[in-house]
Amino acid sequence: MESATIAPAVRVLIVEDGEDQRFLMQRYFELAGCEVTAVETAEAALETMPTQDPDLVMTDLILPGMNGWELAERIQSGWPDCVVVSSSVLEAARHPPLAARLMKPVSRADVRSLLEKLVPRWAA
Amino acid sequence: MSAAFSRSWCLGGRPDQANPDVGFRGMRTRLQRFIAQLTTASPTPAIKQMPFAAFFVVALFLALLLPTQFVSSGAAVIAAMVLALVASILAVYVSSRPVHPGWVLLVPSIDFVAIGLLRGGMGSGNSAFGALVLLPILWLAAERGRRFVLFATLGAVVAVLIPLAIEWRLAFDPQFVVRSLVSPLVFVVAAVVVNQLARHWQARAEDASQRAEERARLLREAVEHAERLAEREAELRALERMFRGLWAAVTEQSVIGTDRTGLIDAWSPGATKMLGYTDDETEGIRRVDEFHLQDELAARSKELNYPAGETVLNPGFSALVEPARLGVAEIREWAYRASDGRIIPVDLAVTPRLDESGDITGYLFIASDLTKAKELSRLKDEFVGLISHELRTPLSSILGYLELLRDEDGTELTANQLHYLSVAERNANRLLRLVGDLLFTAQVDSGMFQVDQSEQNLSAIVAASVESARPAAATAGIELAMSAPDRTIIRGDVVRLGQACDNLISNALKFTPRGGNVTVSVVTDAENATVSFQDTGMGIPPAELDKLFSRFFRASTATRNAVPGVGLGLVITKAIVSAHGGELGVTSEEGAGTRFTMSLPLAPVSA
Repeated sequence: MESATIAPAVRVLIVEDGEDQRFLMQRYFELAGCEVTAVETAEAALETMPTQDPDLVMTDLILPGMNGWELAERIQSGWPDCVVVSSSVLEAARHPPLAARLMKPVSRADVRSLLEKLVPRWAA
Repeated sequence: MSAAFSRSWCLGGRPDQANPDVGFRGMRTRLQRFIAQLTTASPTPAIKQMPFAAFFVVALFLALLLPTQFVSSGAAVIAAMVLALVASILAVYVSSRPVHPGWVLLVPSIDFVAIGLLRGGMGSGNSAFGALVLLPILWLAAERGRRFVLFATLGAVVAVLIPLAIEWRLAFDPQFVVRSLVSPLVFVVAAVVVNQLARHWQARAEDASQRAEERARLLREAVEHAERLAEREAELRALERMFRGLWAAVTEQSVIGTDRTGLIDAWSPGATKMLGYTDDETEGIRRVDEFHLQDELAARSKELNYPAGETVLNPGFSALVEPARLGVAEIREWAYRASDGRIIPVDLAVTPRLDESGDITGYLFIASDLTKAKELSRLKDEFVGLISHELRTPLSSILGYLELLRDEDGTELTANQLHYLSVAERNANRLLRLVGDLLFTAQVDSGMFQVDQSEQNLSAIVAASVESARPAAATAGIELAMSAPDRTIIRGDVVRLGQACDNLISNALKFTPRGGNVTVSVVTDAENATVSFQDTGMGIPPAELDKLFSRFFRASTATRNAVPGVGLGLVITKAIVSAHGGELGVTSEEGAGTRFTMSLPLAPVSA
């Protein structure tokens, strides 16, 4: 479904070290009408945060180098307006306390409901 | 010299240096033996005859040397000598061979006649040899039996009267008559006395002999008894050795024995190995509950409603042994604290020790170290967790890209392509569910999963599960019915409870053939809500009922009928029910049906 919005597209940052999953999430968000940046590591994410200023960050938890828990903390303290959600193979209970905690596999519908609930700017 | 004497001389005459009977020393020995024989309690007839024979030899000398002075009738004397010789020969004969006692007594009898003749022949009634008659009198009187007094008397009378036969005129000799009357009388008295003495001594001898026999018997018995005791002792020692060997050999289990109050009286080498204390540090000194964790004991005591047991002052120990005290041998998991402070998880079996009358004298605690087993289990759970996470990653990709394929805007898929896609999706989802179940069981084992505890309407949850199962029931041709009150309020996790109901309904449907029924009903009592899932399916064999809730277990009826499944469903369901504080039960009859009951505590009614 294409989205025809007047407002600027919702910007999303995806942090995911698995290539297939990274592309998948990117595609889902694109299909939902968002502008997506996808990076492999938490460090890369932190680098792009200032320039991209995303509305939503979806991060994997198990990452090379800095892990998702720490990244979430840093983003929340540095960019309090940004919505952070986690997506991981681990059970939701083990995710950090975030706006949403998703267990993989994350479906297209999950992505849409996420945007619906957490990003008021987004319109279907 | 008697023949016996000369025989022993002959026998001893061998030219042997070691033989003590040879030479001068030999002669002395033989003389000593001879004298010993004379003074013995039972001399041979030959010995008894010897003095008689000796005197007759003297008489013979006198008769030969001074015939005119001593011999009054040569014929009588010769006759006497002949008879004496006969008697002596007879005496020797009966001494060397076993004969009837009658023959032996013939010897003194002949002696009497010989004396009579000698008296008659030497001195005509005034013979100095008259006193010889005492010898045979004593011989006879000493025999057993009072009749021998009579025989002795008769013999004496014969000896006195024979001279009369030789010289009949003696009858008119007053001295002869008096002597003939008085002597026998004296001799009778002597005979009686001797006989009496003989009886007395015989009685004593018999008595002594009896006592000796008695003593010998007692001694034999005592010896036998001692031998038997020695045997028993040897057996006992062997048993003790065997036991000690056994006791020392069990090093991998801790075996502790206590009395009724918990004081340790037996501490095995296995206990030393596990807990670090030696037996002299514990036996008679410490109590078995000192090695347990106090809070574990307290919790168990509360569970059992504070049994008093033997020691009111020690509720922990009472809780430990309560089932054993009631006669039920129990195996439970406990934790021991070793001497170095380590906590050791153990599988503990508590059994009562009974005496002969069946009363409890103490308890036996056999513990197996579970550390390795638990560690293994933990590693396994970690591994399972790791694997399920690893499996999720590719599965997520598979499902995700399948979804993209389906939803990719701009391209229309053919009906066939859509069909293939849905098959692939369905299978990937099935795989995903399996991974989820596996992970769930690992969480259950490690106690790591949580349930929500908010108020829920159980009836609604059950209804939802039943509704979602209707299509499957219809396809399988099974009638699915439900009865429940409108509201049943419990505390719990709606998702998990739904999962439990789904599971049980799905099982019921899987195991019921076409045309059967599955009925789900909810009933409540004062404290609990019970949901029953009754089917008319193939059933479960009674022997398998308690294994039903173990991981990967599949009933033989399931495998026999090729019902699909892995064996995780009931593990998960049971875990969910337990986490809600409830109980899952099952009854079944092969070929008739199965009934699962899930009971959950009702939420306390808020005022």
